[in-house]
Amino acid sequence: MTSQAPGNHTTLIEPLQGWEPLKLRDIWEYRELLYFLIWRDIKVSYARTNLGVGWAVLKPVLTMAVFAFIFGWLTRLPSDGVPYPIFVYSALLPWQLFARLVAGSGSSMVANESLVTKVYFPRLIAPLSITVVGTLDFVIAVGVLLGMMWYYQIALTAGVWMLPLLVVVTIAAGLGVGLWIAALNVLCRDIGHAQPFLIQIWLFATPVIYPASLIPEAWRMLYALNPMVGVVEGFREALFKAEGQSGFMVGLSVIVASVLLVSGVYVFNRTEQTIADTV
Amino acid sequence: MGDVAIRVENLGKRYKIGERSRPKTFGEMLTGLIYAPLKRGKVGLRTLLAQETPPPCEGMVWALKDLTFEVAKGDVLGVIGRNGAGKSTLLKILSRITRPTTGCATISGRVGSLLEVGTGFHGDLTGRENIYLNGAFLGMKKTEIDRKFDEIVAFAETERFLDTPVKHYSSGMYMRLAFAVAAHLETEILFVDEVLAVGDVAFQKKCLGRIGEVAKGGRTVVFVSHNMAAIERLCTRGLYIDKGVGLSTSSVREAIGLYLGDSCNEINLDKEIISKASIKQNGEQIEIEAEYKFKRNLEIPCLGFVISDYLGNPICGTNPLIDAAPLPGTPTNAGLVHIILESPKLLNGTYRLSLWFGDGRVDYFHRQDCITFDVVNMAGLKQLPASSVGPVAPKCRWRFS
Repeated sequence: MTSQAPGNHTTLIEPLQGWEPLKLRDIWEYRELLYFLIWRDIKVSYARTNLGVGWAVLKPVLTMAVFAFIFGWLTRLPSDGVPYPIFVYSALLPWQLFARLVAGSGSSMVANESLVTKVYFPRLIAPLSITVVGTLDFVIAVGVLLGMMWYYQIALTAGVWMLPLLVVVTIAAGLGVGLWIAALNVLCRDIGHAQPFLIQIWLFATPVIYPASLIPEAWRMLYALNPMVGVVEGFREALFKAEGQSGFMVGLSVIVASVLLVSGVYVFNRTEQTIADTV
Repeated sequence: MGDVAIRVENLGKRYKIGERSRPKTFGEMLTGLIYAPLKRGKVGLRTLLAQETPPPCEGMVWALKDLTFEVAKGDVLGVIGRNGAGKSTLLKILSRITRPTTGCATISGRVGSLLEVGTGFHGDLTGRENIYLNGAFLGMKKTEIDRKFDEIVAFAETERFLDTPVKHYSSGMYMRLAFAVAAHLETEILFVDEVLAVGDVAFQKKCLGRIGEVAKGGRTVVFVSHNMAAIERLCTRGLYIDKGVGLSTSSVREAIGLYLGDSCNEINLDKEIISKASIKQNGEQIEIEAEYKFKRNLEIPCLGFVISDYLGNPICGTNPLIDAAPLPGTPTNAGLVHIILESPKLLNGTYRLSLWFGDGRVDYFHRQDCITFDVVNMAGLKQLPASSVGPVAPKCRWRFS
């Protein structure tokens, strides 16, 4: 147990004993490092590109263009009566945030190996910084959505108030899965290699390119265990339908995402103590 | 806690060695991850109840064992020992990078640890940005870095390149900047691991000087180094660690003495012509010993040696033929060669020994740099650093008129 009392700064270093409580105070003490990491991640990812922050917009827009061409125009997948491009874009927003959190926090320990073995900081700070940066990109990409809604003449519905909640669920699920992967990745590098496939398969298990109504009724319950199903359906409903039937899916998402986040944080916290030995 | 800055009790760290026993399946790994702490808790409880030590495991090695010591506020503790003795493990535990397996440590005061220079430096960021980032990693607050900024830049001598990404820096500039940030870390307790050997000679001197200032400033420092000269100059107390066990926390001289006594470095080569060889400093002399065993009798057991500096540049060397040594009367096929080197006097530092053996015409044995050894105060207490004047002390006669 490592604890740091305020004021007199006494640190006690003891062996690891099973599950340990979260050291939120420690994270608070290192908040400036979190700030610097966020700033570094933004700076490093955009500073040396010509388009800069434009990439935060381009990434989802280009993906949308490709998907709209293949699945909307060539394959003609149904889209619940909403123009396909905006149908797919509204799902890509939360999906890409989720995928980024899974990939980013999943590799945060292995990627920062040189730091983890040389300096102490609450390890949770690295995934947290990725979360903040990912959310900022998300907010920028939302601007495009508003532009598209104006173009397709879709008015905002009363359900918009749901969106912030859904974003929180996305972050919880993404961070939760990412932390699990980060912890397992330290123990077994195979996880790192499997992660891109996991994300790819997860994309198809989420109603991004197709509507959830395509899934047979009997399988819906199982399908909705994927927390991103509720999030994406909720997003679309909030934007295009005002009221609908996604209530239970969203509810299930909230539960699953919370379980993922809490268990992820604890597994990560437990692995954190030995990361420097095994990474 | 009173005046004790660091108290370490029965500290131990066990590592698994060799092929890590990996979980075979994903499922096993998951269950292991969940059950391991429970199991460990149970073992811990049992040990606690039965008052016994944890059961020994196969493939485990103690990097540190039952280490107990205290460091008073304001003390500068030099930690010395061979490679792999557990010095770095100790610093890693004290800096909270890794957890101990047994025992505990209590540290009172803000801690800064320098296990490496340039932690968190990012090549794409400018010098200015890296100063802030690196400072944050070392635990400095932004206001603190703001206040020290000019001082850091001046110390690093990189004013002109502040807004250039550090990946375009020369390696010397990079190291200077990295050390400069570290050198301005103002915590009550400082852990330093061999970060002195950076940059050119002039800068090394500056670094040593800075650490000396820090040490004199009344702060508690734990300093790990192989550089005995630096340890002797900077530290007030010494801790000698051998194979994970701490042996002495007394005066620096005592600890260095133990280290040198232990550094009667030798090699054992069972089946070779030279079966055993050793070199050690004995006061102001260096003694070399080698046991040989040859397939036939030899008139001249011709043992040649060369002493080189740590980088392998030869300093001196000879053999019995060249030195016109008194040879054994009767030819033998086995025996012991004992050499005492009275001069040259080597300056403080680490040196290497290479050995040859033959019959005076042909060499049948050659080992390059087979032993590494340290020299401390062979050439007296007052000496210039070997890095600036070379490794040997001149013997002069002066005349002023």
